Amino acid sequence: MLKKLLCIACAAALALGTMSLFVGCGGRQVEYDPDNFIADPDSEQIVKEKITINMFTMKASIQGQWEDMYLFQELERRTNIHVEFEEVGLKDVDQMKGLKWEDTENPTDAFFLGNQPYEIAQYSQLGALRELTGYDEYTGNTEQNLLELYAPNYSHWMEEYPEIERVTTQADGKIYAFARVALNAEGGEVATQYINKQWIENLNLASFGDTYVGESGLPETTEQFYNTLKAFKDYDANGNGNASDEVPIIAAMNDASLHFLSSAFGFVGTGIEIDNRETVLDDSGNEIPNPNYNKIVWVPSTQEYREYVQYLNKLYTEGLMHDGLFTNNDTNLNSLGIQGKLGSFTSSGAYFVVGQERDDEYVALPPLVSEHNGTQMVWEYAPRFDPSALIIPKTTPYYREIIRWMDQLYALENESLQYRGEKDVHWREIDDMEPTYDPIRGEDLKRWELIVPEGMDEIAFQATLTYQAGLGNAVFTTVDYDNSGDPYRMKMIEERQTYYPYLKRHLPQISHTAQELEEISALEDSINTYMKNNYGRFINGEQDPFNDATWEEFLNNMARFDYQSITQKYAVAYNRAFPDAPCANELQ
Amino acid sequence: MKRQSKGDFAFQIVVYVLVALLCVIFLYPLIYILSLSFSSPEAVYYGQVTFFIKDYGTSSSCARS
Amino acid sequence: MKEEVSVLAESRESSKTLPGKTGKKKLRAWYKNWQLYLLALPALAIIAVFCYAPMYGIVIAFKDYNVIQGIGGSPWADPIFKHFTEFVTDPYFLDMLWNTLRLSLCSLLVFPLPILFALLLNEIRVKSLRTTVQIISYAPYFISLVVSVSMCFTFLEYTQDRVGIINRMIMLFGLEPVKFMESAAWFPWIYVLSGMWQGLGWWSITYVAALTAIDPTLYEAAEIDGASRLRKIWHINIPGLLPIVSITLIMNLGNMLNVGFEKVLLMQTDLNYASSNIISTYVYEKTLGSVIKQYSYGTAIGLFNNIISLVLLLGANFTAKKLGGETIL
Repeated sequence: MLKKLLCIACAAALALGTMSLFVGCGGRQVEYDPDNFIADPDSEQIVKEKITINMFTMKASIQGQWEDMYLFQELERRTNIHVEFEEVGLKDVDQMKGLKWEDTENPTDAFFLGNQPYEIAQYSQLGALRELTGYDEYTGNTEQNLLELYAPNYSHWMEEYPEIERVTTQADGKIYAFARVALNAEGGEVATQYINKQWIENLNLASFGDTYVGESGLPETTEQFYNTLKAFKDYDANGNGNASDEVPIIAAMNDASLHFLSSAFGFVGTGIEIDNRETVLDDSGNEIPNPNYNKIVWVPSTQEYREYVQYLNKLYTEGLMHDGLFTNNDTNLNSLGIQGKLGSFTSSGAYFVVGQERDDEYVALPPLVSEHNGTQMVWEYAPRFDPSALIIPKTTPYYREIIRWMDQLYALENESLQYRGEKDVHWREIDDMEPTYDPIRGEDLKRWELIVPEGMDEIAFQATLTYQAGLGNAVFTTVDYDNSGDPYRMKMIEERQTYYPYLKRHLPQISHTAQELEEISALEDSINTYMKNNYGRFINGEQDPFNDATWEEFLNNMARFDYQSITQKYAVAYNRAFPDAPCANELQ
Repeated sequence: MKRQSKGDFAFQIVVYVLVALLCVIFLYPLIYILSLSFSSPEAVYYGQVTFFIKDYGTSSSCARS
Repeated sequence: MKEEVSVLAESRESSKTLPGKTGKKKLRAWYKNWQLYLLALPALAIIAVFCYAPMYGIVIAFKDYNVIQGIGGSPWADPIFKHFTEFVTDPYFLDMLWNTLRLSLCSLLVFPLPILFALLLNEIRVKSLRTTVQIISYAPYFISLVVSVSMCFTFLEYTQDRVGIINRMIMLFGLEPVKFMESAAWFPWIYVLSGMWQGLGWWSITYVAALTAIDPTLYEAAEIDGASRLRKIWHINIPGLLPIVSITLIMNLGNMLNVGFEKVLLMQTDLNYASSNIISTYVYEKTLGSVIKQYSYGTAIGLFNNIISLVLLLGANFTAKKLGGETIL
């Protein structure tokens, strides 16, 4: 009898335990009150009674809870909206975002940062996103759309820079996302290729005519660059008595150095690209019109790509390029840099890699030209206007509040909140340095520096103030963002100026329909697999890029993956985006 | 005590040699990784750690402050 | 032995001739053992809820799934087998299939190693030494996959700054060092041998247990017949292991296409991609690894993979039955 009772008790306990698997079914209970919203765009306060809004976002590992950041606490104080952030680390953000869309119990009200073009295209097509150019459903006003009514700052920038509207408009003519607006430079973001000027002077390379360097004192062609690297390797460039410990150039797969080198041959990338060079050079160095002018091409099928791969092969097999190309990471670069062994590398700032003592030795190398390409170009890896800042799902009733909240970030007077906090509390002006003129505000801006507490790292300090630390640019930046008084940052920004005349993206930003994106991606995935396979083998010499038969085979195999369709699809989308200046591809 | 034939004796030797070899193969990587985590990062990077800890420092194994 | 068989046969016969009574007998048997069934109930519930119920999600292999419309709302693929044909006509299909099979074949090739290790262990006379060696051999099994793959990379690398231990030994012998992780030809061997380093001790446990279960009188008989150690192994140990070996062999054959994807994904680099591109890593690439997540396509490939595995398993089992050996189904 006792045994029976015991058994029943155990069974009941187990049953309850299994039931606990199904708990957690609940939803948001708060009712939406449309009168709570303050529609006047001039008032800082957005709602009368405090409300809580959920936002989904990505975060860098250095950041803590976003609600604790000074920026968001200050915004909450002004706008009376408490934003509850759900932060996900960069590596998992794609997966978690997908799950979040399916989450009907705790839906989010907005997706902040990191929205991919494909997501925006597909979700807007399925009707899951709130149109920012739609109308306010609560007041029934159909004369002005939501952006005009509630986002005066953002609308102002849209008027000043029509590019913003062009890149955020989807294939159906409507706008669904806020764009990141970077007005701090004449172009988007670019990485700097540094070269060790000190070594060039040590070896007195300028005295050999134009074998090693051009008139500027730095290598200007790929030929000169090769010779300079060889000199770095063969002779004792860093003056420590050991002639063979220098690493002439170091790179990691897919980092900006490889893009820098391929730009010398005519294309900034190794995928789809539009060729806007008007002229190319023939074998005797004369300019001839470019047969591919204004055509969208698949770069690996071109002669220029072959020359680039041959050049890389030469650098790698002769030991000029560090042979950890396929396994290098930041730690390697840092280690070698601090020891003074690096001749050339890529980074946003030299002092990140080689430390502050050696920062002076390095200068930015202007884009190179090569035997058949006379046009200098450099890869712009992030554009000025990037439609990824914020999207709003259709299911949330708080869209007006979110638009007004987001608009606060685009106001000129709020700009400094986004990366340095409050004046004289977190940062101070530097009076004895030359101020910078800001064309947008029309006044001189004094340089600033952060007031970092003792023992704290600068970036870690910034991470307590704002979301921007560790994640790249803020949602809205002007010249003021680059106006730090830190001498190393100043040098970094100055070096970057070298590249602004030559910026190129592989394709201008064009929007596709979700259908097009899917087809293109399916084709591109397969061909990129094939490319991955062969690219490395050409560089390390397993396959010989100088051998015509091998190259023919490579091209034939690649044709199996139908890259012609890829260029066709891009050409169609391009012509739709630029009807007045279509590309030169023949459409079928 | 059973008398072992010469063949069996040789066989025993082979067995013990193989077992010793296998023990080294199983244990060495574990000890190596342990030494790596207690050596200084520079020594690790340049491959100077082969078995014993070199330049003891907990910087690479302790959490970042 | 013979008596047991005949009793079983009798009881089977008796239950055959009295159908009505069988039904009642069965119900009574169930009721008598209700505690056991109750004990099994939560486990069955968990399997039902977490393994069988989600299977309806396989339907997305036949749809164009997207996150917004969910499993129920997504449109059907047009034509319905679109994803399957897309996979089979992919230019890399044969390569992937061959890479997967090759990894399995290499695993099969090293299949005898745990058996040999068990035989070796069995030859150690001193019991304490034998247990110590056994424990040392299981130690690598508990190392996580990520750590063991990173050990692989560390030991096998060869760049101008750092030379891993294996390449150092190779250079000691005067041979050319090899960049193992950047070579497609070496990949299957590194995969299999590093797996063997981790698993040798663990997989030999079953065989060691089987060896201890061998009747000691057989050894005494062999001793009297004057057999040397080696002959004893050949005539007693190996036949004693054969039933277990055939079962594990069948299980391995059935798993031919199920090469574990985490390890291959961790060991995959751009340069050994020609050998390391297998079906399961391709599924990962298509669904979670790319910007545009093609969940439907990935599910279709996974389903295809599983069907082929099932066919292989049934085929291996059937062949084993035909050949008169032990079977698991």
